[in-house]
Amino acid sequence: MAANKGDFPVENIRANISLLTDYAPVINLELIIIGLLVGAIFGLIAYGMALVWGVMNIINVAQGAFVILGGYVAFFFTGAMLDLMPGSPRILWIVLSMIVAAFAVGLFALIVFRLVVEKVLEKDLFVSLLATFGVELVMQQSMNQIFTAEERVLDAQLQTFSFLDHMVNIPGSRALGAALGVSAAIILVIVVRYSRFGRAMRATAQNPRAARIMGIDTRQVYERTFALNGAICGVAGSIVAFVYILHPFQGLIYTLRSFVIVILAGVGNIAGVIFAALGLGIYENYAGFVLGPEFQNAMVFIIVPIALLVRSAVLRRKRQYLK
Amino acid sequence: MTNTTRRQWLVAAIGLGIFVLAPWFLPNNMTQLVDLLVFILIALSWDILGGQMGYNSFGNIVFFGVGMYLLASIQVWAGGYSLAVYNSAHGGNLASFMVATPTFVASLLIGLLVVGVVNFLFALIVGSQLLKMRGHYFAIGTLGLGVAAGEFAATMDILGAGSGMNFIQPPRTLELAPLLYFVGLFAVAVLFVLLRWLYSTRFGYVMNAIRDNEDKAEAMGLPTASVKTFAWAIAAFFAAIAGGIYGSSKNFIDPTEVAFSGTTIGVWMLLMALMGGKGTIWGPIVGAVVFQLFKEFFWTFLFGWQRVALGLLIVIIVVFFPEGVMGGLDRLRRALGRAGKTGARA
Repeated sequence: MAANKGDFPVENIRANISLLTDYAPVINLELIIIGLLVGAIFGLIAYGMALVWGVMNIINVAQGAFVILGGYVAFFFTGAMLDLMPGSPRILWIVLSMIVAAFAVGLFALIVFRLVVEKVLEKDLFVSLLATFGVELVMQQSMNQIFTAEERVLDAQLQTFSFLDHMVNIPGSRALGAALGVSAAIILVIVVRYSRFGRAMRATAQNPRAARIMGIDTRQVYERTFALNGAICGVAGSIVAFVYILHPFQGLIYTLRSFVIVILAGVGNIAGVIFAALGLGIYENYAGFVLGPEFQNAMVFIIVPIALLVRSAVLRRKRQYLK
Repeated sequence: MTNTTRRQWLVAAIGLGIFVLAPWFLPNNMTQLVDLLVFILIALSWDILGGQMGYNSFGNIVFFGVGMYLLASIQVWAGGYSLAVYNSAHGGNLASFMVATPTFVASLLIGLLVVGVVNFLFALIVGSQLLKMRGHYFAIGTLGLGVAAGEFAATMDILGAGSGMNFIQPPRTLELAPLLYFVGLFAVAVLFVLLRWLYSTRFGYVMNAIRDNEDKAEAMGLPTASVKTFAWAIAAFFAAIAGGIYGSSKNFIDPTEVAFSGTTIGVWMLLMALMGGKGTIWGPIVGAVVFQLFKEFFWTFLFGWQRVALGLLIVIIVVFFPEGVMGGLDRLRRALGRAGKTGARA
């Protein structure tokens, strides 16, 4: 895949495209499936961000650090349990670690809310952006000091499933991660749709003042929303622990990814988050395959200004603007 | 000249005097002093949009990074070398690329000017599109731009790709740090005088009108679109020069850690403006000085935990002192019963 020094790899791109269209169309299938699996995990994280953003008007930059924290909790919990009871089924502890991580990070998010977020609730979005960025920095660097910068992977010991004469390969860990992610998302959607708390949350998002008049304790709703978001991140982190790698500095990538997804879906459009996440997952896999893996991140982030410009151009025709 | 303006120019003159003499008092801290001037430059230029116009940009780091890469490339070209050949050499091989002292100094000075002008034009183009968005969306869009710029730079082989790029070695007889220091000081002085003048013109008032209510400003027939773009272009000019100086002083460019480092310098610039008090001309300067002191203190005494302390500092400032030093002084002065005579606001 390495191009000549200084050249944009046009030839490679052409070759990759023809590989997809003419020679091995099956690869498309693998790209799409892997894209969907990746999208499911990122969709969960973005869903939490969209909740906090929509309900509290706060962009939680510390989202990624929450995810990584959840990952470490799951990693050490599973490790400790396997040491304690050797021979016990690994999968069981991995699934249980999800719940442990959810509670741990949810509790942590509650503390962060009480200490920091609560104090910037009514302020400008810019202020809360900086405040949560500070939280991210503190968490990231503390984790670096405590857990060291060593890359850690929780080995799920699952085989890779191959289909169609080894043309399509799906790693078992990703499939498990996506399955767990989707089930967590379903529980989440049910909570937001049908529970009393979910209704209070949606009412607060629509109009906090009216919600207060109707007797909803909006401060409590904010607090619970943030804690719920923490729990979501914990779950996502426990999945990240065995699907990808854990590293203290990786957090910001998750923040930015979920950011891109929420922007693509449009703020306030919580249902759209899932579709945007799946779409982005497929898109980035294609971009990575066609242009080369080193372009994958760049292609994801360039989407942000482009999506915003397109949406503002559409709005301008209606004499409105993004604000 | 009113009493307040005279006092302000006096303070500025004393400040300039201190800065001119600083290298003789702190000869061992030249790198930190150059950093300080770079910080003042980026904080002041960030405040043009962030403080005076109400557009919080996370994207000024793009100009900072582009300026850095461009200056490095100009200096390589000035030495008569090909960029691709230069960047494919690594380690000890870099020492074989030599330039004479006059060429080096000339390429640095002219290069900085070119870098500023190029980024000025670049900001005109990017800004004409991005500044159509308002408020949070502008902040987010520029954030995306900054991250994407770093990722793209990390893929370009001609710029050394992910492993970054070195500035060409300065000639052995040349003392680079003092040169960069006085170039930076000159740029700060120019920016300060320019902004003092700019904020007192109609252009400055239009910027403030945009901050206060853009719809009304537009309805009044003010040229909001061109003022916004032009203001960003001025900021880009100085941010790029700051980037060039910073890179030259560090001698090494990493695409995501140094040049387009949205999470360190990209955030520091607005943090410094916030710390000093945004929307004032003295705020970003005071903020940069205080920030640099804190940073050096943390880096010296809190081995390993310095970045944690920095994060805590951010949270504390943002949550408890969002008005910054100048805002605090203002409040103090008012509490002392001298309301109305505030000299802090420019």
